[in-house]
Amino acid sequence: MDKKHEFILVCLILVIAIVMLPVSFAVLTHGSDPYRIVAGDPIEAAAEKAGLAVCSETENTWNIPGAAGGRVYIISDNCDEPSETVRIETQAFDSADSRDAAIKAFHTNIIGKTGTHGNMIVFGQYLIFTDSSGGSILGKIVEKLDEY
Amino acid sequence: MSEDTAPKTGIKKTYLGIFALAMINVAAVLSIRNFPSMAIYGWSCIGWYVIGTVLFLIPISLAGAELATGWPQGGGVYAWVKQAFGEKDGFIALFCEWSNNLVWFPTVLSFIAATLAFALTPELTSSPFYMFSVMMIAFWGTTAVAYFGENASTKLSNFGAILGSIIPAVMITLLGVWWLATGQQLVIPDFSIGQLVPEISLDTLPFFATVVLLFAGMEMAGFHALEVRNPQTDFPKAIGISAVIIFFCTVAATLAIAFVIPANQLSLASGVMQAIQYFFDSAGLSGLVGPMAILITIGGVVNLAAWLIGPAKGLGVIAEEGNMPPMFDKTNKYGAPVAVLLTQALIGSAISLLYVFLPSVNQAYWILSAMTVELLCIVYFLVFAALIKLRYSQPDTPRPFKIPGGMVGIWIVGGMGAVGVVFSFIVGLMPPAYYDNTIGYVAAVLFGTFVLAVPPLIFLKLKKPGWVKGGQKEVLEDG
Repeated sequence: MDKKHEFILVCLILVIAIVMLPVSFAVLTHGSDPYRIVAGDPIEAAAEKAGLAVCSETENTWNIPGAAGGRVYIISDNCDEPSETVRIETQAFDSADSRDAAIKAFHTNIIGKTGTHGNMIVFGQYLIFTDSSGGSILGKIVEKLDEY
Repeated sequence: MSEDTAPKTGIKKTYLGIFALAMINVAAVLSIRNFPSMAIYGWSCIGWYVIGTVLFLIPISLAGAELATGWPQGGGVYAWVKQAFGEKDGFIALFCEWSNNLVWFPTVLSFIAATLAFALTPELTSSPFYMFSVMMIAFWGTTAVAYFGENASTKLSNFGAILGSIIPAVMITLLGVWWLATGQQLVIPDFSIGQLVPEISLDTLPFFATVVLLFAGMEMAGFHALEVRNPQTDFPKAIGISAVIIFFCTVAATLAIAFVIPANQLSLASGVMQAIQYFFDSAGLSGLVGPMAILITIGGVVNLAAWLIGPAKGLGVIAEEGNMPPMFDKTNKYGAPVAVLLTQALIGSAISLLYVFLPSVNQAYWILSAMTVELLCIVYFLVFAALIKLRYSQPDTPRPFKIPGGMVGIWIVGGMGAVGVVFSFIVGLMPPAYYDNTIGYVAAVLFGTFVLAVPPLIFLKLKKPGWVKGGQKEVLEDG
């Protein structure tokens, strides 16, 4: 094998190892979330189906291009004596481009070199953001969102 | 910074001073991006920072100082891990650092493009063509600076770290002090010792792991060992200075933001610049938002440059030692590893292209982000393990800076760092709370991490005696 072939071989190894395999695997196995319009209030409906209570609900619009308004929910198993509470923000977007740009913005706002804070879920035209709290409540809501 | 002229090429060889070395670390670690995210925690952000400092910043700073003064060869983590565990592990450590960058580059490039858009027209962030164009200008521009060698990249990191990281942090801090001094209402609760204690639970474990790696990059100056005239004395001072600057700028600016912006307004979903805008609007200084966006963009570029140049230089050293085909050994007259830089730029561009133009992808980003965590943990685990091992295998090698406390001291420092990164590695495998396919997530992260870490084993398997050049570097003539 001459120098040129060696160089090509090494470049192929690097491209396959670094671009093709991990990126394709991550994308192919975890799919995409195409933009579609979801009617109604999915979070309220999912919380109700999951047997949870919406303790408060306020209007909220994120200061980013394409944001068309959303709500901040405080959801708990019991509003009077909560054992766990989660704060969920939703935001509708007016186009696939603006929603996808917001997804990317979330993933670029990392702490240090590695970490995001909270969770970002994509559901139709909505982005759903939660902080680190209320993991099990969030799991129940997402389960019901899948059935929505 | 001082210069000598190389007789053969006529190019001035640049030597880095303490300040320049310190600024390389500051550029790699200090980022305005972290402040709003951490300010959400109010007073307890101090507790979180202390955790990051004790479990990582102090251990990696001390380890970097001892290893860089004991083995001041080029290659940084490669040289250190190689001394302790051999060539293969050294190569794996360095390659993990390099390959995790390739997956991380699109996120920092995207941050640069989005922040610049904020200074121009925020709507531009919705245009994939704008995003990709600016990302490529930043990426190839930084690569071009690296092409012109240490002199150019040092000027960029010196100038950029001050302008893009330190000045914005100081400005935010001063505004916080002014806010306090003028008796404006603080939006965080009254101070008490109890407020400093962070809430640690199963829900906050991923954040805990993030905080441990918050100060990743403190080893970056070690890659520039060949350009330091007195590494034995300069490294410890530079690492100490950078650690102090990073810690105080980070804590002070985060608290300043926490004083002014209510936690419920610091929605991370909407971004860093939105928080900065709220901060300056509250202080009646809206006119400073645009200039701040430009400064933060510069901070993003130098952050990128620090990570782009250091590990590439390390890979150049590995190629020079004959562990990669000779094509990768090519350096130009400025001493820059051009083949490695070019390969890096091409692969980084390909990943950025996918990042920008793949539509509607969210979960894949989580997986890729988790891979970068795992790769970084491998690097740092090997560095801490090397620190401990070398005290046993090479006890007599002179170390102008030695971690105090003898073997107990080395086990505390190395052990603390290693425990922190092992913890982060394990937590890095935990899927987000809402994720239902845990096995699929873990399999994807481990598979990706393995694939990104394994190329050194393939290169070493293919290695030929002809790849070693006996120290003779092939120098490309310009033009």
